[in-house]
Amino acid sequence: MSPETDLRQPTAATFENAAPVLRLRDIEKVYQTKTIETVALNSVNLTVNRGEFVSIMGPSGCGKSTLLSLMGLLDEPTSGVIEVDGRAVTSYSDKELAGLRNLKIGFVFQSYHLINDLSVVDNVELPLLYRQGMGGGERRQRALAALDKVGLSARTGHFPGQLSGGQRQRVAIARALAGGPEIILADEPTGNLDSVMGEEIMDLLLALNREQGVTIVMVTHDMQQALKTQRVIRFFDGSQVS
Amino acid sequence: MFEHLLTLIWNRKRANALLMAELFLSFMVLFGLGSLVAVVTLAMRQPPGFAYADVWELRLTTNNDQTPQNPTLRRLLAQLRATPGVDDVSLAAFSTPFSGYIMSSNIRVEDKPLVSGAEVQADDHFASLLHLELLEGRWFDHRDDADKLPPIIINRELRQVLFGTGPALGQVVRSSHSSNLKEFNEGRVVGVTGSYRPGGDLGAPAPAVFVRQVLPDSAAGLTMFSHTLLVRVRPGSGAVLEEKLVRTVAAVTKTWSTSVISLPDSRAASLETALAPIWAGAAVCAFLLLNVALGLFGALWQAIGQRRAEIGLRRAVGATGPGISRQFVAETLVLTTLAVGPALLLAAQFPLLNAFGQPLAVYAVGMGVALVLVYGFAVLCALQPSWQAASIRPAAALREE
Ligand SMILES: Nc1ncnc2c1ncn2[C@@H]1O[C@H](COP(=O)(O)OP(=O)(O)OP(=O)(O)O)[C@@H](O)[C@H]1O
Ligand SMILES: [Mg+2]
Repeated sequence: MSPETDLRQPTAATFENAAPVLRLRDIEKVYQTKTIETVALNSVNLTVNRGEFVSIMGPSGCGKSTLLSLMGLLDEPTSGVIEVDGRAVTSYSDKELAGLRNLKIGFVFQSYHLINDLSVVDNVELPLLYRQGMGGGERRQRALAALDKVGLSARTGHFPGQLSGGQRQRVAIARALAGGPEIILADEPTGNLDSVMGEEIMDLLLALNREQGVTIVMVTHDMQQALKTQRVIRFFDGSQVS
Repeated sequence: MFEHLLTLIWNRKRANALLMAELFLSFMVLFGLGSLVAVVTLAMRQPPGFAYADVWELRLTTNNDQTPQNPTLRRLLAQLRATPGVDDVSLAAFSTPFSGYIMSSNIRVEDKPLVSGAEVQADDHFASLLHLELLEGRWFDHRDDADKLPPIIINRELRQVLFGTGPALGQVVRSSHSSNLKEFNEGRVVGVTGSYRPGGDLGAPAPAVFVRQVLPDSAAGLTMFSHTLLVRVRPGSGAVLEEKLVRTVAAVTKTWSTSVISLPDSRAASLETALAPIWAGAAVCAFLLLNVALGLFGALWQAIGQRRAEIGLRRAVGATGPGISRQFVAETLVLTTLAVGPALLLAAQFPLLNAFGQPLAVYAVGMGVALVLVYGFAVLCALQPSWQAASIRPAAALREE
């Protein structure tokens, strides 16, 4: 089954769950520095439905990463409301936000952000460390299962420095998967990889979306990749253009 | 999380090694200092075995007086004893309490092993003046004039080593200032005092032997450079009496000069001398601790700078700000424990091997002091950088690189 088939015929699962899982309303994000004020996002309204694979495109500096960090509850908008599962998170405490990130969201970054002093499996366990009441045995088991999914079962004891870029990104994806998130936010996950490795990662994400119904929002500069996803949102200068 | 921190620290062992070595070293130094302080405190809390309040020491310099000194001394003692405000006067040898002078002597009974102890030359007034406790027998008095064998009085500690539980009174004891066993003085034990610590507060209770000192009737005798008198004065006596004593000495002796120091002052001075090395040790410790503190602080600052991305990532996967802060403090504590654990094991060897014959409590205090200070410093140094780490904005930290 090629990804294209998927695009044309959304699976039953996606259809049934066509409920908004993330919604941004009138979002504005202004970065204030000493010298200048940068409007990174300007009146953004955007809904991501459960089971969707959305890609975000746009020129450098147009606010894509900013958008993703707002979606991931890592930052607060200057104005506007972010809703997760239909509930505004404005009033949430630091602790509640951290809990939401831990349970619902998995992050994948262009530069992987693996901890170099931890082995592959320890890196993958990281999100589970912050989950209340989960024992070491279960953590290890889940981490190994996630590594198996990304095809890295043979490298669990390696350190990030011993892996290729593509392998590192697969570790990062396993880490995002280990917590069983509903949403994966991927910021240029293939940006540091050559086209072959990029394709591998892309196939992995597509499979996750298709087979496990994981909602994915991915920032990419690659038109080919974007076309494989269900929806492409374009940004220009802080605003959504399509 | 604890396991995770252990893994992290273990994997960063090279980066952490210097810090751990510093922590290890400061623990050992603090342990030494703490134990020393415990030894001193323990010694100071034990009574010296004599009462020194209201006792003054008169140091008389004879200024090359070639006239027979014994008659002069006798007149002086009588005059001083008759002075209002003076309770008693004792002609003491140079090893007065707190003076720091201790004459050591080798003592033995029959063919038993030699015991070394302090020898104190004392006259008949010495015990009552210093309120020495007499456990057995009596102090020196005129009855000793007739005795063929000189009288000897020993303290509790010497009695213990010489005679154990057997009888002491009437036993003949030999003592010698040299280790040459051929030259010795014999004496008969006439009394046993309680503990007497000739070194004062800081000396451990140790064997001591008292030898009787009398002023011969004859005018002959050595001409000495100096004499030392102990004077018990009425409580509350001050400069007026001191003045009077000095004038009495001048009037009786014509040429001698006097300096007066109270035993409490003498004690304070000797304590100061004894504490000097401890203060020096404390200064070294303080310097070392400062170094460790700066090292810890610097390392944590640097770590947080280098680990911004890691902090951002941890926030992204579910850590709260305070959680990050706690992690850094916990990491410091684990690191400290890894360094302090082996140090504690090493420190435990001292009491286990009974290295310096000190009681267990001394080492316990030393360990306690070292533990509290090392952990205290570690936490103190970790707090600010950890708080800093907590305030890092995750989105910004993840954007860098
Ligand atoms: N912490 C910040 N402080 C100040 N300005 C910032 C900050 N973060 C982002 N910006 C600015 O906000 C704008 C949007 O940045 P953002 O990183 O979201 O762009 P992007 O679309 O992800 O770009 P790229 O494709 O290069 O990754 C840029 O002009 C950037 O300089
Ligand atoms: Mg970006």
